[in-house]
Amino acid sequence: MAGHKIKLQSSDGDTFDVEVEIAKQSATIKTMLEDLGMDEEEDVIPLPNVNSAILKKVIQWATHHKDDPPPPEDDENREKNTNDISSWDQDFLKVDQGTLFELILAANYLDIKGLLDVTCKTVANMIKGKTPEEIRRTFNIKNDFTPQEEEQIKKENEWCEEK
Amino acid sequence: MEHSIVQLMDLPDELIMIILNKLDNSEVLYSLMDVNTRLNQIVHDLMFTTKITLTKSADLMIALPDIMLDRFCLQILPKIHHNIKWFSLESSSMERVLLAADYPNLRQLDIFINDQKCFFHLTDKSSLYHIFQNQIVTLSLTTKKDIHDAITMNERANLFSYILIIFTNILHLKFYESSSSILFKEPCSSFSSTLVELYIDVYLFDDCLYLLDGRLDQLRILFINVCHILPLRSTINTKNKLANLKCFSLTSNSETYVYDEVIVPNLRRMLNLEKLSLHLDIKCKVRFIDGTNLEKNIIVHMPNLNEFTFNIRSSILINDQIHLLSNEDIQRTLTSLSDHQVISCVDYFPSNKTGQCHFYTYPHTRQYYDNITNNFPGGLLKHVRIATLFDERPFEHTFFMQIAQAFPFLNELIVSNCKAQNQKLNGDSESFAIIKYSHLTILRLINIHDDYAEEFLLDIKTCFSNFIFLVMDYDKLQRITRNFTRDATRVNCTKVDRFFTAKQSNRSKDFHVYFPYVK
Repeated sequence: MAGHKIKLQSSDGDTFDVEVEIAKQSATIKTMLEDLGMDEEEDVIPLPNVNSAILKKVIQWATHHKDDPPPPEDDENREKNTNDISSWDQDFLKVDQGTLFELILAANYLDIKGLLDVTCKTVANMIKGKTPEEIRRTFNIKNDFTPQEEEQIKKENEWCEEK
Repeated sequence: MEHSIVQLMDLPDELIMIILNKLDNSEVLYSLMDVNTRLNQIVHDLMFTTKITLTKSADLMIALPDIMLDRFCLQILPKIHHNIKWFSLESSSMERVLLAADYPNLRQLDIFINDQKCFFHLTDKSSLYHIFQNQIVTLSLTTKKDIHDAITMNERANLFSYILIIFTNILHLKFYESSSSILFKEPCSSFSSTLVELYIDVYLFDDCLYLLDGRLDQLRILFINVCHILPLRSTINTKNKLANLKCFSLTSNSETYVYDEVIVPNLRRMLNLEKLSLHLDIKCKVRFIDGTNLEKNIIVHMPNLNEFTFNIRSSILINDQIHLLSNEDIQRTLTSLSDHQVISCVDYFPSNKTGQCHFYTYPHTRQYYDNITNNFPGGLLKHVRIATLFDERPFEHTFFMQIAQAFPFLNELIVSNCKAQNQKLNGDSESFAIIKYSHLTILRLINIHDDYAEEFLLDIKTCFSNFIFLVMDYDKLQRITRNFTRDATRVNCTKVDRFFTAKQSNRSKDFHVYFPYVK
């Protein structure tokens, strides 16, 4: 039904009125609506794993993509092609790393294939071509190898560095 | 929005795996091995360590930079060597990679040959014999186009023979899957008692029959591209049945006139075929090839056939005595031939005194689509890279729109049509919907009315996404561009970076100004 709305409630208690067709891009919400018969305007769908700021971003993304055709079936070439992110999505995802990872968690929880795909591709592009040391710096990852393991890795690296 | 504190390492393994799946395995291993303990565990997963491609992903013929190759050979491969089953390598780094560790489970090799020396020394590498002989069951060899052109068909045939000698456990072989053909001067002298599946390009149909004369006695599946199907040389044995073959695919892009004499009798020898695929251009004497012909001459002789796909274009000379079959007549003969949808199209060209009948199982899988006319039945043909357009009736702008939509990945377009368009512009400013050719790089305008040069060169009708190699008559080009001054054709002409004309002509100074990228 065009324009029919439902309420989505974030983990911190904020509610958002969203058109059903937009909300149904989330397979999780779609299943809830169908299985539980929750199609009344006053029904509130609680989303305990998504905070208000992230839910707002997710709704913004879903609203922009509401008329997109259904995503094509899994195809290895498309999956590995990380250069096909639209310019709107690229701008939308110019956010701090924390927000990007929270969007990934939300897209996974809400089961929004398109959003999960584009956020994961964005992170993949941040990984591509970097050395392990650059990866540690980019993603603030602690080197937790034992001194013996570290010594062994250094030894392997020495040969490369000498060249 | 307040900044969140969630980090990459806070994601569960399942989500990190989804991210890493967006990358090639070599990218995952290069960047993430030895970052920390958890990522090390993740990247050791078989998903990332079974198949390794050590070439540039954008062009498989190009080696990785030395610094990356060093890291793989010294730090990464020795740690995952037990997991590796399949390597894709380019020839200049192959030896170094294969000697960097022991790969007890390696079974498959894809080799991209990008250097002429490597081609000739591929089989000299005695240090690798133990892998070639004892381990490899699946081999794919692809040669870079310019290297391939410098190697004779005999030299390719020799390499094929050496491969059969050296790879003693080989089951599946793809030989030159993307390039040109080999020619056996005489029946090749090597045998294989293991090879089950072969993809190969050969020069003559005779070469196909040499391969089937018993030397590959386990061969069950043969996909073969033949340059020319001509009358057979007398030395060819065509008597024995080819009873082992279960799957056969024959493709030839050149027109053959020996369908009845060569193709049909040899197909009948394959009496146990279960799958058959024919992609042929056939010149017929009297009647088009139709479903009845295929049924009577081929299918009825293959009792086990359960899948038949085809793409056949046949042509005839027409005269007053010939009854002209319609598309409906042809379609009626095709309905029971295949489980696939069959598309057909019949055309007659009175001035040429010829007719053609083209039918194919859908989806269309050939890279070529020849002699498309105004009767083109449409559809989405994603595999086609080269198309030729010909008709004795004019091609209007809407027809070209249909072509651009039907062939979204078209690289080369050849147009022949001498009839003027009916729907013309009254002035350069009038508008048509602009047709965009996203992948076109070669445009050949051969024997055309001037309207078709305008169709492609006017920027209000056509837009090129790439630089174009243009082939057309110089005088015509000069006329259409009003001696290289016309503004309406200037934009598209600046997208031309190569130009060829059949007749020698002195190009004016204005030409070079008008086509700034043509050398």
